[in-house]
Amino acid sequence: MIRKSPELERRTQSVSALMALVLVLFLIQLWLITVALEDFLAARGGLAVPTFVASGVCFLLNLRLLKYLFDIDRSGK
Amino acid sequence: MSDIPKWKEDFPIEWDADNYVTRREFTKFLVMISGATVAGNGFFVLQRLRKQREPYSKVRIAAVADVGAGGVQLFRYPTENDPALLIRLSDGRFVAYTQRCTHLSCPVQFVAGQNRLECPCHNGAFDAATGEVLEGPPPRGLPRITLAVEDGSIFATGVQGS
Repeated sequence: MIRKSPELERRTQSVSALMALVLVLFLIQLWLITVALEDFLAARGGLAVPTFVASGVCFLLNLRLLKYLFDIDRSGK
Repeated sequence: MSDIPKWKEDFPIEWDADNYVTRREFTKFLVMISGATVAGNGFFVLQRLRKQREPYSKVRIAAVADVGAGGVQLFRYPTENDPALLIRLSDGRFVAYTQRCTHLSCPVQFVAGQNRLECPCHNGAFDAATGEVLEGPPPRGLPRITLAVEDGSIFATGVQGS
């Protein structure tokens, strides 16, 4: 029988929380690209830049969270 | 007797370790897809810049005398692959729209008596005066082609979203 490691359990919880945050940001990005597509098909184009910027911010936040994920990885080794 | 099946005793799995690895890898994958989504948004920005750099040309499409009230004339604008309709409304005004339905790109047809454009594929209908959707599945109005009347001729000058 394997005994649970509290350290591993803590890291798993951290990764789960990170995954949830990244998922939320990604869903926001999906919504943004849908808005941009709708705008493009309607031959308006006024939302292309704002949605791109907002999506870029979400991506940068995701990169920051990814860095934190690597930090968690390193702390376990 | 233990509740744990024998195979689990023989091959114990550390579920936290398993969850840790799968969730970590899934998170990395999500971040990669997040980057691809930004690139997708960037595509729309590039398309917008491209349109700004290439303004629409001014093309003669008909003579005013050729289209009577309630009349319609087919033309192509801005390229030879973009069919469009020039319509003279009952009040004498000229309007022009892209002929492709915004639902699934079927060609719309002008119904003069009802002053509307109808799509025969899925019964979508648009107001001939504004291009807005009156009924059916189209998600947005028809893109409007801007017109200019000079010296008895009608010119197409650009395309606007509805």
